[in-house]
Amino acid sequence: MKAFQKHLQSCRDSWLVCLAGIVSALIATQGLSQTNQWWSPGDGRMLSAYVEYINPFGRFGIVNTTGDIETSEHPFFEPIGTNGRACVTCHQPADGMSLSVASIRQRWEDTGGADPLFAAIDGMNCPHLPPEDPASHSLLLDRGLIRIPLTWPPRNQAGEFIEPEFTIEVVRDPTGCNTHPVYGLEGERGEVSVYRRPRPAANLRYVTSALFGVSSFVGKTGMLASTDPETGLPVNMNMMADAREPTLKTQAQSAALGHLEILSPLSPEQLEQITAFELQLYGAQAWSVSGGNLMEEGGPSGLGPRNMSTGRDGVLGNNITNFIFPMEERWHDLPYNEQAIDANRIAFRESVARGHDVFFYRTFWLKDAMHINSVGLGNPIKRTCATCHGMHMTGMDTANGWMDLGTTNLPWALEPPVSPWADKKPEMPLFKITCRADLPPHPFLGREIYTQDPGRALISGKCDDVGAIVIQQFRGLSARAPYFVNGSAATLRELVDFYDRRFNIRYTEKEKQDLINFLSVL
Amino acid sequence: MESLKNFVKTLFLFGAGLLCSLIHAQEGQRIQFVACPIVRDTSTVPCWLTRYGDALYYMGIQSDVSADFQPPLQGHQVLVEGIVGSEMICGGVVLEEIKITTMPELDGSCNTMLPAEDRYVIDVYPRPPGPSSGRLAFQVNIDPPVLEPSMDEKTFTLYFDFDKGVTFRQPRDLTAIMSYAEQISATRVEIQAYYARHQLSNGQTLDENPAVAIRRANQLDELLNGAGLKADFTLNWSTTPYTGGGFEDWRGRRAEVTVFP
Ligand code: HEC
Ligand code: HEC
Repeated sequence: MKAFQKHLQSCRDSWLVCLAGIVSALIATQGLSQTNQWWSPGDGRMLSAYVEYINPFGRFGIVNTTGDIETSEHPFFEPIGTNGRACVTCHQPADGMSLSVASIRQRWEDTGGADPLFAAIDGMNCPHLPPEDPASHSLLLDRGLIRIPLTWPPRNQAGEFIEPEFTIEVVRDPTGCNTHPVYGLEGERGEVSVYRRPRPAANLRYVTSALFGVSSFVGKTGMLASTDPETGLPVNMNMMADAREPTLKTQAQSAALGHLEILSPLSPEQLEQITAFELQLYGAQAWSVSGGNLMEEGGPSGLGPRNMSTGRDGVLGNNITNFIFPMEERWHDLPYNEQAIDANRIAFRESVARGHDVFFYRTFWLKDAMHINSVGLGNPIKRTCATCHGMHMTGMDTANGWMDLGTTNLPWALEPPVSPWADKKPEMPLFKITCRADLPPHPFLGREIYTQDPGRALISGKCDDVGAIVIQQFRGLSARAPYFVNGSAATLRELVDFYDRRFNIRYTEKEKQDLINFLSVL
Repeated sequence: MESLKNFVKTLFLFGAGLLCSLIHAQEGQRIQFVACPIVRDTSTVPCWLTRYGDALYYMGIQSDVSADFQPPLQGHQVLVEGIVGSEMICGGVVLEEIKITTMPELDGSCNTMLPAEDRYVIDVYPRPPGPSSGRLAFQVNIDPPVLEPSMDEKTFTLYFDFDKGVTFRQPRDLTAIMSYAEQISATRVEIQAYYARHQLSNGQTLDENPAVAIRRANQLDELLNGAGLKADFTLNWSTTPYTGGGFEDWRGRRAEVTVFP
């Protein structure tokens, strides 16, 4: 009954939300919410021009700017490969076009592990393991991670081998993949396996924008930028954790060959269809359990999927003229209302507004972060979250947005304590990187680096790039826990705590909660 | 006994004083040294200091990537060249015409962070510690230089950090070279790279690794070619260090790229 009252409230806010609310309430009463939110390949359903999906913090809204999407025979939605998967398998509308660990577990339960999501190729810790054993899928089930095999040594865009500045040694191999005779580093295929979270396949106009900082040379390193194979023009290198794919088309082609195990490459028409779909699709949190409608008339212009669909891409937002997530002070000092439900909503919205200010203005010392301290700003630098997350509407970095925050590199990467009393075993692989002695060392980590995922360095072969990860967009965070490339932060709270430790920020409890509330409405 | 102790003490103090005054630089003197960078917080942006001999020197403030002075990296020593000024900022003697570069090897002892004190105030800060006012702090620096319409050969000089090849410092120059080469339909490019010898004020010399000259030349060649500059390339590098004998030695950490029509 309480829930129904809430829906009535949303009806006052907007009829669309009201409708979506009633529909989802109906679904919920039938106990179908989880399964019905899931898109299986070849469902053939229509993806409406506007649709909302429930998540723990409210609802995620999707805007298709070209109107309703007919998904039957659409290559993003059809199982066009050999393993029964489609792109939508790992890029679920309900999960912010990424994939939450909650959905993954639900899928395991609902299908007894038979869903194509759990395919041996990369839905398992390693393809040689027994598929029926949940332990073979532990990284997917526990942390939402997909195996990414990458050839080593790397090749440049012309297909020539790059001579890496370092050697890689497998120090720890809990998945058995990196020492395997076929899949291992020394194995037949000469691959390194790293394990990464799916990144949101929405708002990609922003992610691929060439309007800021794109040139023939990577701004952070001076090295050559990747180019679009069709036009020969440099690209922004802001896609995938390691920027290995220059365009949405090359990305889709690799995804089809890798994740879908398609036998022949996608046709030009299929590529066109996929990228056209991706570029017209926008998503953001649309409704907040505590904050109400995030899309209301006159609300903050940095919130909601509609504002996402009309916003400007390639705009630097780390300034007080554009802002990263503009709030226009709309929620800063709301008139106090005596009615209990409104009072709670007002209090939450004010907390979001404070959280925005914590993100934007609260300074701390950013220290030892490669590709941010190293690019002329100095080490340490007194700045804010917004310094690394500078792009308007997405919170991504500018072009060539990879940095080492420490999520995969020791000493900051999450590792269970090793002791005779500890029963938790490490889950992630650990590599030792030894950099060439005749070149300058990594400025913060020296010549011997331990890492769970060398990130950009697996593509560039550069010592300075070890553990550098391309920042992902902030949208739909509520729909797609866990966070960071290796799923090391299970909740927004853990994400904020990571920063608190990493940079010795010493946030107050209130600042933390405000920040979490702010992130939850993006 | 007491007087002997005092005598030793005096002798010691005298000795130490002598040593200090030896490296106590006079106003107007050009000095060059390697030391740890120190950062001092202020109520606005932090300022960067370094201690040499008995003096604390002021290097500059935190700003943004467009600033002339770009702070060094703690966790490393910094190589500093500048002229001792008369002004004091943030508790340090200002070094005029300062040029710094971070030493590449790690030095964990370079980690001094000083707290803000009311008496040290930075009140000109073109870029606050938080978000900017909508532009880079120093507008002059952001656009590549406007190229005169010309068909002549032209030499571009690129400066590098100690022992480093191409870094974030070069894209601007590389882009300028690319556009000039296009403008004159370049047929030939000559690259001449150097490595530097720094004459420190304490009498020591500090050389870059001679191999860095080769690396600079090769990297510039690869990058310009890779970005699509189709021309005949000639690479040269010096096998003896460039030095100004303590005067602007940083100029040795350079390469010249000459573009011919
Ligand atoms: C098995 C799960 C899976 C499937 C199936 C899958 N992806 Fe992904 N996708 C991922 C993962 C994991 C990443 C991140 C990889 C990385 O960072 O190295 C990703 C990243 C992406 C990105 C980059 C987004 C960004 O901001 O960086 C796009 C776009 C994308 N996928 C589109 C597709 C398309 C199109 C298909 C179908 C052809 C597809 N994906 C199929 C797991 C999957
Ligand atoms: C030194 C640069 C830096 C600073 C400062 C920084 N971040 Fe990040 N942030 C990153 C990088 C790099 C990533 C991607 C890391 C990864 O995926 O492992 C990231 C990712 C994120 C994500 C996305 C996680 C996901 O999985 O989608 C969020 C949210 C985030 N940061 C919030 C914050 C907040 C809040 C602050 C301030 C407390 C902050 N960041 C400060 C560099 C930074």
